[in-house]
Amino acid sequence: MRRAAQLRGALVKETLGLLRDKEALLMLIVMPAVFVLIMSLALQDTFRQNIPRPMHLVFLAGQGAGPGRLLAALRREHSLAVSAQVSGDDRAERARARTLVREGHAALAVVLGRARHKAVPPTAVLYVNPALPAQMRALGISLVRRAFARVAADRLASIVRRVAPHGRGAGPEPLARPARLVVAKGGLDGAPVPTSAQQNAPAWALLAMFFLTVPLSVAVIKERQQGIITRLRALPVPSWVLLAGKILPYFLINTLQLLMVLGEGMYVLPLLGGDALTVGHAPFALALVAAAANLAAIGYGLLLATFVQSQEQATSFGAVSVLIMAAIGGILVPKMVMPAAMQELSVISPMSWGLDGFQAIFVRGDGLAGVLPDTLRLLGFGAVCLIVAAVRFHRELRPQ
Amino acid sequence: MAALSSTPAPEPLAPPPAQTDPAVDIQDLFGRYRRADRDSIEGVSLAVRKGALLGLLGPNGAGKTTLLNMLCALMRPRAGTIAVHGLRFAQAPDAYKDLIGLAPQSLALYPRLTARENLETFGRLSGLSGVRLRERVAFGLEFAGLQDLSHRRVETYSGGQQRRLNLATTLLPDPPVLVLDEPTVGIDPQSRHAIHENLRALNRAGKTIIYTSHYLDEVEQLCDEIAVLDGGRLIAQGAIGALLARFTGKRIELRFDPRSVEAAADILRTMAGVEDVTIASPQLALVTDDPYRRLPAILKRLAHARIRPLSVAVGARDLEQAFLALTGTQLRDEP
Repeated sequence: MRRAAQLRGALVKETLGLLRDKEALLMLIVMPAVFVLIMSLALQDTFRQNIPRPMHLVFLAGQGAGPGRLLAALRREHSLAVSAQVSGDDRAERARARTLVREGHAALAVVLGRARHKAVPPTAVLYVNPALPAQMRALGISLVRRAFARVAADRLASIVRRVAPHGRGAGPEPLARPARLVVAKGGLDGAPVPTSAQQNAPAWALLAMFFLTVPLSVAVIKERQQGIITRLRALPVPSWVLLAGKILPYFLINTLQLLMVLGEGMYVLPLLGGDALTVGHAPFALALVAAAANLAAIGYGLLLATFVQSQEQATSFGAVSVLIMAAIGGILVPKMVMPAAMQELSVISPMSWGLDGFQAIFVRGDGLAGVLPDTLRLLGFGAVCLIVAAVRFHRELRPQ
Repeated sequence: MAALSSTPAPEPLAPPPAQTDPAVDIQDLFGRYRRADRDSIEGVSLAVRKGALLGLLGPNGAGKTTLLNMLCALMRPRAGTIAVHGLRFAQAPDAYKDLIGLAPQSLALYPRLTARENLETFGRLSGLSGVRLRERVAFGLEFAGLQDLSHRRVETYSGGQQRRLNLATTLLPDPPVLVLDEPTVGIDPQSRHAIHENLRALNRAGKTIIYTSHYLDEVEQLCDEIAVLDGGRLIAQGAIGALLARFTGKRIELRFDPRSVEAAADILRTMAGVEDVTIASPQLALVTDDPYRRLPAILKRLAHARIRPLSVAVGARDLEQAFLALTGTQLRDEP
């Protein structure tokens, strides 16, 4: 009974304090709503299939591979600038192809191997420059696939011509079996690319979630500076009650903010000519990722609040650390336009985990199983932050 | 003037009242802040009777806040014991805290909340709920004189209104012992008067009040007992009347032409029975073993040096002079 009254007291004062903090509400609710609109509309074309120049493709054929029809089909793709070289054996050509794409001399490289047997089609391996943006990788792979499909279609047509129009055996010999395409490891095998809304809505919602670090730590600093913490320490109220009182209001305001941003992406963006946000069909997975990201953000905010000593530290370090997490995590700059090294670095940012979780649902249509790894990472990060913050807060409140 | 801070144990100013069941019983207390190389409180023993209105005095750095922090369980004593109504903090932390209401020196209020919301918040955090909470919030608003402004945010209140609310917040759980750290800093005389009247009423109703202030005149008006700390030690304790009587019997004040003050001081410092000479030009204050017996000799000696006082007064006028006599006039700026 007593603890319930104390918990209610802690919740009410934090909620009222937050709702009356205009700057905090501006940062947590208005900022993401405005940024989602602006950025989704501004980056819309970038996220559509709009490649500015042809991609350089090197076609390498091992000796005896007979590349004629395939090379011709590739050259019919206007978005590819194809140069062909024939030399060496399959293994040597593959090593050369890997070097060419890794060092950036070519966006794509196709190595056509020699057919081992007449009945077995030869294998062509596609290598993709790992630094290529995901969208361009996907496009490059699909163009190469289209060329291969065209060759296969030509063979099918030759078979049909032989057997169908003028009777059995009347037509010319059908074309040889086309090569089988294998995308080398490291290439994106046609992964779907998010729309501008699918990138920006969760990205800015996550940024705002983590930005609660600033008002939350400032509120704790003010309690210290105004002597309120001294009064609280003199009261028979345990630290966990005060901590819980801080968590729930921020959890609710972050959830409200996320719902508003998603609603804005779904219903307001199309009215302004933007792509409507599609959020997949996994509400439970979405709720799980949202809750995990929320707890991670609150945990980080509370952790910071127990370390900083002044409002200046809270605002500067809080904002800077969150912006760095956002920059690394693909929030400010979409991960698909980052070079490979930066994309690998993004895995250290909790915001990247949150964004990957949301996009797994929105873009790939994943369910609970698909978002579990990112959710567990977020929950682990949040739990560690909360535990450390709770220990430090408890130490601050107990007799020194 | 040499401060009496090195006095090993306080000399009772008057026969202490019976302390068979004190409200606060502090025994041989030592306290030190983290990373400090010396104790802020050194061997303080102090008993505060139930229903006392005790003024806790001391210059800056004397150890008042440290003592209050330990009393309110904000700081752990290095040695010694504190019992409030016979209960020690370690025995039952929550019950111990229920016995003490602390009004910190700073305005420990949420500025964006209204007076009512502040009272409800701190009432709930004290464990109150339901009818009891509503009753105590109503009492708090009445105590602070803010019934008509209860729905305005605290950040819009005057300094006096905030001080009154700060004090009212302390009273919510109705603790038997109130610890008030400078509760009237920076407020107008009307608010100070209102606070004093309310505190007297609470004291008459049986509350034990420990009151710190740098306004010695208000301590003299409000409190019936004092304890004086200096250098972390208790150097005096007892009834205010006894303290004044003690210094009334020792002090002589002489007023001179300012050009004669230094020469007069030089003469008086050499005289037998003069314990201390303090210059506050154009006045000289002497502490003697027996002023009425020494005064004729003092005047005769001055006359011999052709120095004539403009006025002569015997006895301490107020608590401030007694306090200065106890603690000295050296500045005690806190680091």
